[in-house]
Amino acid sequence: MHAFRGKEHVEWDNPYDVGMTGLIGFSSGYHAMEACDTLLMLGTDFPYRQFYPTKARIAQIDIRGENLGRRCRLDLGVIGDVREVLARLTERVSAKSDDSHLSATLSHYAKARKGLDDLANEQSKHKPIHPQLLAKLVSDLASEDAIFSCDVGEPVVWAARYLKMNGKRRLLGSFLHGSMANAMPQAIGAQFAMPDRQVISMSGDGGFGMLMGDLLTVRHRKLPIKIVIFNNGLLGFVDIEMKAGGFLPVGTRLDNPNFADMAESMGIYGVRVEDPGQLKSALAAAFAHKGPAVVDVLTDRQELVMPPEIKLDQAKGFSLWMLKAVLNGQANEIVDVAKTAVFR
Amino acid sequence: MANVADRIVEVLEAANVQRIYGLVGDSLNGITESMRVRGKIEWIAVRHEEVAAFAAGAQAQLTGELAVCAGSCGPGNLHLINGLFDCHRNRVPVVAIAAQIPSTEIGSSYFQETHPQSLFKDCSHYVELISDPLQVPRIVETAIREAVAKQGVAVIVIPGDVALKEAGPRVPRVSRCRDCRACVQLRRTSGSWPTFWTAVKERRSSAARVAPVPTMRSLPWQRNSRLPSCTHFAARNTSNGTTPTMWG
Repeated sequence: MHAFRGKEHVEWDNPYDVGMTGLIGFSSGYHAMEACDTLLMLGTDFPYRQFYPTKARIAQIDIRGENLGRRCRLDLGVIGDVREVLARLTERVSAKSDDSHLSATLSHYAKARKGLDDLANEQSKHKPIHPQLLAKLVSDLASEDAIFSCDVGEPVVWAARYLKMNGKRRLLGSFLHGSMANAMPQAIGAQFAMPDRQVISMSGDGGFGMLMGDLLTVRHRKLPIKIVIFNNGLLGFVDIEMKAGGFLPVGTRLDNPNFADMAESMGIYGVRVEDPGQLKSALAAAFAHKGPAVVDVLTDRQELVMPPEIKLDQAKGFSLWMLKAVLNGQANEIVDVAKTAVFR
Repeated sequence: MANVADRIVEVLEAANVQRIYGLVGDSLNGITESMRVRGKIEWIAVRHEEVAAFAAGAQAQLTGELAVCAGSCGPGNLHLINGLFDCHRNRVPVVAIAAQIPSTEIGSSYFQETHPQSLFKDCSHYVELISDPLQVPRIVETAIREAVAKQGVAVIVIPGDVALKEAGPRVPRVSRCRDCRACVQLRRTSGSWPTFWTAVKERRSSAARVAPVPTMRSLPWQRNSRLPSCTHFAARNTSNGTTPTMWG
């Protein structure tokens, strides 16, 4: 399994991939790590302590010694380059015949993956459009070596779950600092650095609005970046966090203009999509367009429903990120992973 | 007659900087004018400096090489900060040029006065004020070394008037590495080719050393063993080994 920043490097050709853990991961990733005998951490600094296994032995390899043991108690800390250490480590371990943990987690992952893929059903007529479908189509239609950036907030969740990487594609985000509005500015830098590659910004309506002024830079320099806006009229993740913390949402609703019309008025190709039947052709046309493009997609709000197993008074006053819970496939429910069965 | 800004731009050119993201302003005039006249580094005008910092960070992350952004005095460079925090935490090599109010007015609550040396402290490995022409090129080179070797942000603070002062004598340089643009930056940090290769070799053997030692005890030992790295080491770690390197 991988932490988010490892997605572009280790997920795509890993036959034993079981997804991510943590709030934006899903249950198979959580159980794979929780149920292991030994956890080997390779250069990761995964920050959420409550997700580390409680019973496993833990070894960590990191070229930065100061990272060792920062997030969990270690049984072994190794300072070194992961590539070099792994090469030496594999010489010393032998294959074992019992693959019950692997097969159980793989089948759990397959089930979880299918659940996610079902939510991105291309036949769906649901309006507003499911953000899962938008993310999947962006991944399907993007070029073989596209560079993606995703805004912090809900676009991060959809990027983590639906973007397919392949060793040539890249994924940029504000994954450590967690700033809003990172996606379009990063896409600008990516396009200057790599003028011949397709650059796609997966922007939230909140993030896009925050640094929207630099759409003028995109126009000025005729940067052919493709800005796909997940427009649900909501600071979606903040809204979820408020509800999960027992607060009534305040200040999360956004009153957006038609961003496609706005782009057009700036001389930038813009298309607004409200009907799921038109989404695929609209994205394909925007991606094929020679210049910059803004695709403004009205997406469904992920209304959070508090599940009965997590009582409001338990959650109240705590950050969603501090809970030992993952978001379900629709990101409208938080799942208490400790209480879900591995085989469902 | 070359001025300090010319000398700064010259060093950035030698480090193969191809563009600077930023927003122009009075205190940056020396730098932007020098770029215009010399015509080698492109100015990428943005509408908000935060975008400049994010864009530089994205470029550095994709290429593994140094990227540069700039903001004018006070609010101008203050706008860089959030993007620079992102660059610094992503450990990508970015140099920021923070122009400063006239040097004679520092400390007088002058119009647009801030203290970038304090403001940028938490999002950089290095932040230094250039107050005398003879500090250039050393401060600029040091900033590049800090950004590249430690992988993160380094900030050069320069008052607009100092940038326009007459430059000190030019320091002779070694010619550019033929095959490897990124290594120019490290070679500069090490001064000469033999020193450079020693640094590279030590860095490689240090990386290869496997030392299963107790967690806490390893910390001081590890700090001492950290040696300068070239951006290619980082690039090899972050792009599936697709970046060609001099040593294969």
